[in-house]
Amino acid sequence: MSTPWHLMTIAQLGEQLRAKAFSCVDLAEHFLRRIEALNPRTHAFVHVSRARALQDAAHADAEFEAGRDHGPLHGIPYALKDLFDTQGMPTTCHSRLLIDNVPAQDSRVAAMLRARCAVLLGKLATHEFALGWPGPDLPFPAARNPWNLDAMPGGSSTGSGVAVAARMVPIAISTDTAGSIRWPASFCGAVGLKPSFGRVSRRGLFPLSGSLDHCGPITACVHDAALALQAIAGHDASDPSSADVPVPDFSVGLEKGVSGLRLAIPREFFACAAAPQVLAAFERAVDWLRDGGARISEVSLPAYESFHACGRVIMLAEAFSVHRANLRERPQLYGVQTRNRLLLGAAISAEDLAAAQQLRAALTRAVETRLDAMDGLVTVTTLSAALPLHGGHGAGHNPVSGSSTIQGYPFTVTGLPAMSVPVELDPQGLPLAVQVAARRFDEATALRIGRFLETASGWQAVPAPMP
Amino acid sequence: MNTITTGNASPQVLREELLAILRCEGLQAAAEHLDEMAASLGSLKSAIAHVHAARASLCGAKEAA
Repeated sequence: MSTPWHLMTIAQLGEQLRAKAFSCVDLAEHFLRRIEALNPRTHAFVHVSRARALQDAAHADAEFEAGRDHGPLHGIPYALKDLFDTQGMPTTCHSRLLIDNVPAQDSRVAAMLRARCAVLLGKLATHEFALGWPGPDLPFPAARNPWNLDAMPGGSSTGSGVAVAARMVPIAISTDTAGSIRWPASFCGAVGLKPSFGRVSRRGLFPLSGSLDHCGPITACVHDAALALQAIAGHDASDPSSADVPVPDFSVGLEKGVSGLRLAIPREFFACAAAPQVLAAFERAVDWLRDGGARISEVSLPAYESFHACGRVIMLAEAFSVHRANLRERPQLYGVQTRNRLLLGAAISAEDLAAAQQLRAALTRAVETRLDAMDGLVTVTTLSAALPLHGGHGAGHNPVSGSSTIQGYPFTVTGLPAMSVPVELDPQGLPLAVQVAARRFDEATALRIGRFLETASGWQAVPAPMP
Repeated sequence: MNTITTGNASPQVLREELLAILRCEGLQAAAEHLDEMAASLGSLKSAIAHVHAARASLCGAKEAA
């Protein structure tokens, strides 16, 4: 029996499209039908644009017919977290405040994917403005974890993790300020790649925290993540934070294994806090890496709490500065949880923010110095498997109170690339993941290690949650 | 300078400080669930205190000054 299209990798779909086994329009129709069937249960999409998807797909078919091949994402469906501007398509940030917002221009990421003839299916659920929490006062329902609809999907990129894990779309382009790509990837059993700060343009992205926000993909496998990053990476002169650095071929070294790589484990980050099944899965992953020829060593980094406190202060201060006017003039249009979180930023002084930025520089120096002699860091992504969806807004991650299951801030505060890779299911059938980080702009090594873990763990043989 | 109390202040003190901050910003009408917010303010103040202490420790007195 042939593999259903939604279970194929991007490379497999590309082969079939080029062999004319099916058309780009056929493929778009397949995923639109899947969204129609699954979205009433998962709530991953907040906006599905059938017309735009079929228009993009017809254009992609025409380009193939004309002999113009725009690369690995040509004809491949994708979706965007609803923080990215999309020309002529609503961009709401999951908020009543922007419910009628229809941008006149594409974000840089959307424009790049359009130029590569990828097919935009729609926009994905998020925590309101990437900070809030699900609640009845928001315009869209909370996304549901496809492995267990009563489990939290992680956030803030809730819909991105859910849609990819449920195979409603092969690629979700998302954002990560405190772990918002890696957390839903971990809870939903997907691959989440937060690239280096500056690797992907943020033009046309609604900001949460300008100095911490990163854009990156969530996909079903590591090779798909490499292809997706390839399509959106690169310098953008119109984004002051964009880095003018070479973009390597992220797929080239994927199958090289980990032999000879020097990998560090910052065990103090998580050893006392992680759930037993998370620690057990992590230790198995370390054994695979060691057996694969990696040289593993323990490393001591500055206290995890310093990264967390630093990131939290910067994020809340910067988020407050973005929303200050609307909090004053239209507070009733925010969900109450979002509003209360944003208001806390008013308590952070200029002196506090300056101290946090100085601390950030020191933390970054400390980590980069350790990484000078290493190829990567390996840690857990989250301290637990997916928690109950109705565990209250303090369950899992509350950037205000500081409680957190996601080990996200160390790699957004430092701007280093980090990726979450699923490795196994826990006894309750919920995914567990490992996090891999690498040196600045060395996403290729993170992907190589991730690909090794994906293979060693046998994760690709685990049946999808909604086949 | 809004950082007046520490994260260990009593809920009542934190609540009053929160209201003072919001009044100062013209945001008092936006706040709901003040007790919950005051608890969050206490936690945030602990984080701020940690930032200042870690900065002094990692950067040294001269750079931190």
